[in-house]
Amino acid sequence: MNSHRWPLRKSSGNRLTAMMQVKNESGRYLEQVLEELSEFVDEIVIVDDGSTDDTAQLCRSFAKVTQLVTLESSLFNHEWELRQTLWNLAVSTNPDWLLSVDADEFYEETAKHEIRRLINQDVYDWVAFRFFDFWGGTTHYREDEHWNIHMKHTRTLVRYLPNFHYFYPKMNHHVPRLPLSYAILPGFLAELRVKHYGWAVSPEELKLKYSRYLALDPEGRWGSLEQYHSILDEQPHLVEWKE
Amino acid sequence: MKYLILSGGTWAEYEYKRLLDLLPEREEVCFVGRMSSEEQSSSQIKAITVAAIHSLNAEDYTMLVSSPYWLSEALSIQAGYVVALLEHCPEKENKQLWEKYSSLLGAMADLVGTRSERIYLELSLHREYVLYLAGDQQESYGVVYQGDRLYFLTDYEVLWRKALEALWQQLSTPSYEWETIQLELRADYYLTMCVKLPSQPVVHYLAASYLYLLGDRAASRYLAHSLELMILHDYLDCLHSHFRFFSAIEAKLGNLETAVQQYAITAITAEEKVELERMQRLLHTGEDELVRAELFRVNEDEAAAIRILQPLSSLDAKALLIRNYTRTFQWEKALELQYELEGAVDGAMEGTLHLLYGRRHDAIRSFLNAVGQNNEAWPLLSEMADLEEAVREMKRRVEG
Repeated sequence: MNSHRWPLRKSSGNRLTAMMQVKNESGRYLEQVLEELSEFVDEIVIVDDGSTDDTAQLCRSFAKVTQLVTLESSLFNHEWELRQTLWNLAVSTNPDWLLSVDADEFYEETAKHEIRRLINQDVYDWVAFRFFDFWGGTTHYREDEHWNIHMKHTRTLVRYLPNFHYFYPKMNHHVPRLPLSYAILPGFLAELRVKHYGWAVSPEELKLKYSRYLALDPEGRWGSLEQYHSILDEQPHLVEWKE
Repeated sequence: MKYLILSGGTWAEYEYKRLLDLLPEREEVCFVGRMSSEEQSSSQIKAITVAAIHSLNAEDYTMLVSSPYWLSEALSIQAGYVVALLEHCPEKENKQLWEKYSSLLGAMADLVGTRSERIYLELSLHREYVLYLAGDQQESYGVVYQGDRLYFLTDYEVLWRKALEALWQQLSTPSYEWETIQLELRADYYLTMCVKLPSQPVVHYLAASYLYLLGDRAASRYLAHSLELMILHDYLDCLHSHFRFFSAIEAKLGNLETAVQQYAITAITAEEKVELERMQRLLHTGEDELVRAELFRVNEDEAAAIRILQPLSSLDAKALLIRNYTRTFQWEKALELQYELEGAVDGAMEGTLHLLYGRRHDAIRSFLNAVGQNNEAWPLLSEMADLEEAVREMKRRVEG
C-alpha cells in the first residue's frame, strides 16, 4: 500500500469502498443491501463475525465484494476489536473514501445519486447523514423521546487519509462505527436520509431484541435502560416515511 | 563578575532576590532604583540611579533585565552580557505593547530566564539559551556557600548558576549541557505525571513537547495519547494544535514525505494550501533541508528551522530565514538579510529598531514609509507614544 498519496484530497476520480460487518444475516436485509450498494459503490469489504449460516456465501455472490474475512470466533463482546479488524481490512485496499454500512441500512435514492458529488471535492473529509429508525415495518419510522436519532447527524462517509491518526475507544459495546478521530477533521452535514430497518421487525422479534439488550447490559452501562424498556411500548409514535 | 539589575519596580517588589543571592562569581551587584541603606547592607547590593547607569563601565557587567521597557536603555548601555527575565504581562500594563517588547528583549538577550512554563516552552522553540526559573522537584540538587551563608539549591537554581557560567564561556566552549539537563528534568516530571494522571491530555501533550525538544521518538506515542484524550473529552479543535505536531516529530526523525503528508491533512486554509504546495515542490526537487525547515516553521519551531537554514547560502534558504527571524523578533538579522535580497526593508520593523536605538526621527521616517506599504503608520506612531509613556512611567516607579 502506498502510504504517501498526492494529492491527498482529490476532487475527481475518487473510488468509494463500502465497509460492513455482518453476522448471521441470512433471511434478513443483507441481500437487498448488497444489491443496492452494488449500484453506487466501487468495492465492498466485509468482516463476517463468525456467522453460522450462509451469510459468507451470500456475500461472495456479489462481484463488488472484493474482500471478505470470516472470523473463527466472534468479537461481538469486544466490539472495538471488531471495528478495528474491519477498519484494517478496509484501509488495506488503499481506498479514497469509505462508507460504513450496516446490513440493515438503505440510502435513499437522492443520497445514492448525490454520493459522487459528496466525495469528489477537496474541502471536507467526512459526511454525516440523517438516520431513521423504521419500526415494525418499512413504511413508518419511530419518533419520540427515546427514538430520535434522525434529529442528529450520523457520520458514515469518510475520506481515507494515509498517515492520519485513527483510533477507536477501547470499549466492548457501543463503539462508533468509524474512528473517533474523524471528529477533528472538517466535515459536512448532509440533509440526506438513510433508512435503518434494524427495528422494522415483528412484535415478537422486538421482544426478543429487548431481552437480548437487557441480558447484555442489565445495568444500562452501555446504553439507556429507559430506551431499552421503550422497545416494548405498545403504541410508539410512528411517522410515515415519504420518499 | 559584576551585575547590573534593571527591574520593573522597586527593590521591595523585586521577585528575583534569591537568584541574586546565588549569582556565580558575584562581585559587585548594582540595582537601578531606590534602596534603603539597610536593604543595601543586608543584600550586599548597591543602589544606583538611572542616570548613573551610563557612567558604569558597562562591558564589565552582566545585566539582568526584567522589564521590556528597559530595552532601549539596555541597547545603549552595551553591557558585557544581557540576561532577560521575562514575565507574563502585569495587569496594569498594555498587553500588546508588553508582549511585543518582551519578545524583542528576549530575542536580543544572550540568555533568557522565565518563571512561566508557557513562555519557557515558546521561547525554547524560538531560540537557544532559555532557562525555566521554576520547577516541581522538592529535593535539593546541591549546596553553595555565598560568603558565610549556605544555600540549598533547587534544580533550576543549580542550572541558573550553570547557565550564567556557560554564558561567559560560550565563545570558547559552546555548551548546551544545562539546557538538556533542564529539558530532561521537565520530561521526567511529565512522564511521571502521565502515570499519575492517565486521562489528562495536557500532561501527555507536555510530555510529548519535552520529548520532542530532546529529539526522543517517544514523543509521538505521548502525542497520540494526548490527541485521543482530547477527542474523548470532546475537545475537537485540535487538528492544528495536536495532530500537526506529528509532522514536526516526523521531520525531526527525517521522515519527510510522511511529515509533509501529515501537514497536508491540516492544511485547510488557502494560506496553508499555498505553504503545502511550496513544500511539495521543494520535496520533489530534492531540497530536503528546506522542507524540514518549513515543517519546523509551520509547527512554530523556528529555532530548529533557523539551525537548518543559517548555514545554507541559497536565495530560497535566505528568504525562509527572513520569515523565521521575523517571527522570532530577531529583526536586525531579518532586515540585514532582507536588504541583501530585496534592496529594501520592512518599514515597521526598521522603525521599531530605530526607536529602540534612540533614533527617533529615523523611526518616524520609517513608520511613514511603511504607510505606502500597508497603511500601518498611524498605529505604529501611536505605539511609539505608548512605549515612551510606558518607559517614563517605569522609570518613575523604579526611582520611587
